[in-house]
Amino acid sequence: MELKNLESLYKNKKLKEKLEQIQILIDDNKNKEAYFKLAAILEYINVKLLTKKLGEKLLNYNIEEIIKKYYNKDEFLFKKMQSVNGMYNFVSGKEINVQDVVSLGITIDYIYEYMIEKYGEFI
Amino acid sequence: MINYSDSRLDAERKKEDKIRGFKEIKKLSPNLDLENYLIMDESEKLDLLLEMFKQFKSDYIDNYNKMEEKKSERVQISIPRGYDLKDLIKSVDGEIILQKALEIYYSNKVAHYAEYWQKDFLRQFLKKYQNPENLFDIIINDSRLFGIINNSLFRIFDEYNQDNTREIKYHKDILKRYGIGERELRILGKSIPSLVNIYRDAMCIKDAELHEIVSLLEEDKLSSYGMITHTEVESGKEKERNLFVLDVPFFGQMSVHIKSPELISQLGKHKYPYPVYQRESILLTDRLTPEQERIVKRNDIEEIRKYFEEGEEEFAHLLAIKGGYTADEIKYVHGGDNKGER
Repeated sequence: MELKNLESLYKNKKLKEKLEQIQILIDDNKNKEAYFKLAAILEYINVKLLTKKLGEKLLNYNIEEIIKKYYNKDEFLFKKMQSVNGMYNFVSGKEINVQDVVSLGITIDYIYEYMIEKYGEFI
Repeated sequence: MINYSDSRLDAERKKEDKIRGFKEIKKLSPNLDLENYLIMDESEKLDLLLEMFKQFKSDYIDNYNKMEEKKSERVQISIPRGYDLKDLIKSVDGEIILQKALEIYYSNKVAHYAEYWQKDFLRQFLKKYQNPENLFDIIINDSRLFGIINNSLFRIFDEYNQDNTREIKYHKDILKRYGIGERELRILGKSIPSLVNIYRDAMCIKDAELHEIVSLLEEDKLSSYGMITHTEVESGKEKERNLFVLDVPFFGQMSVHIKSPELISQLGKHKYPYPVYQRESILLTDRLTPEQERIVKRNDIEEIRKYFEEGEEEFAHLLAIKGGYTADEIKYVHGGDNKGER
């Protein structure tokens, strides 16, 4: 899988650096590590958006808190993050394969693309 | 001698129950949506979760009793046919920690039953419909491949993912390689989407309530709870899983998987100090046997501690929980020094 195809994420210099490190893991078949590093990117962009653009203070940086914060603020992100939480649970305890990594990568790129279009740059 | 006519009737009855249950589940499922769920009060939440549980597992009483029979005699608590699970709602009314514990337990059950039913529908589909290259037989017999196909269906049919066209295309391309095209997706689309959405919603509920209950327990400081790392075997492989365990006062020991790294880190310093006596369970209820009730009513911590010392550890632990003992009191039953203020 080529993370370069995650065009929206790749356009951001900071995120591109993180993706390049994850690409090394994918090339080494370290799918589980790659998956969790991608999940960390998703958490990062959510926290940045919530604190910088939506004026939120977060006590915790977990997905449950993020979902709650989007309630009544942004319906698209409220539903998207629930979908991602479902994805995380569905793979939890199972062997993580490259399809899971690709799936998560594409989803994060889609979410980030929406964030930029609606709120402008924030990282 | 097997009575084929009876067992066939039984199988047909179970199939009809399942079809009827699935219709009810589909009717209830929009209420599980987090936006609806968040505006409900605790009784309404429990009512919904218990109703969905009953529809998924209409034979829960028989199943529960069969599982109880495998336990040691003094620990077994059977449930009569006429038992109404929804009586639990009244039992925990006004007790927020008990309400949250039941919400976590039953939302977890609902999510897992949705997942089992999804796998079941997929298996039935693969057996029923043939494919010229026998790819469907290959999928059924290869658990890893079955998991990949199942996961792709999960992403394709998630209602909250429909606009993620790139990801959906990715998964549809995977499925096409194994003979599952648009026609097959239309057939699968009659049953699987509801189950996917229920799984997603029930897991969101479980995860949200888990975070809440941990905050409540940290403030309350009365219950014994914590995390353990538990080795499980799945598809012949050993895996380490993190469990959140809580001694739910008056009910029993409850354990659920946790996946959140933050919660794992938060609970990591708070290890659950006792064995998980029964990892598999069908119900969480506040019932007792007559013998257990007599002992609990005597309210004698020394008596219960003696059971522990005499090797009836699970029985002693259960009695302490059923008696509503605090964490310090349960620790004393397990041989600790301080018997608390009972």
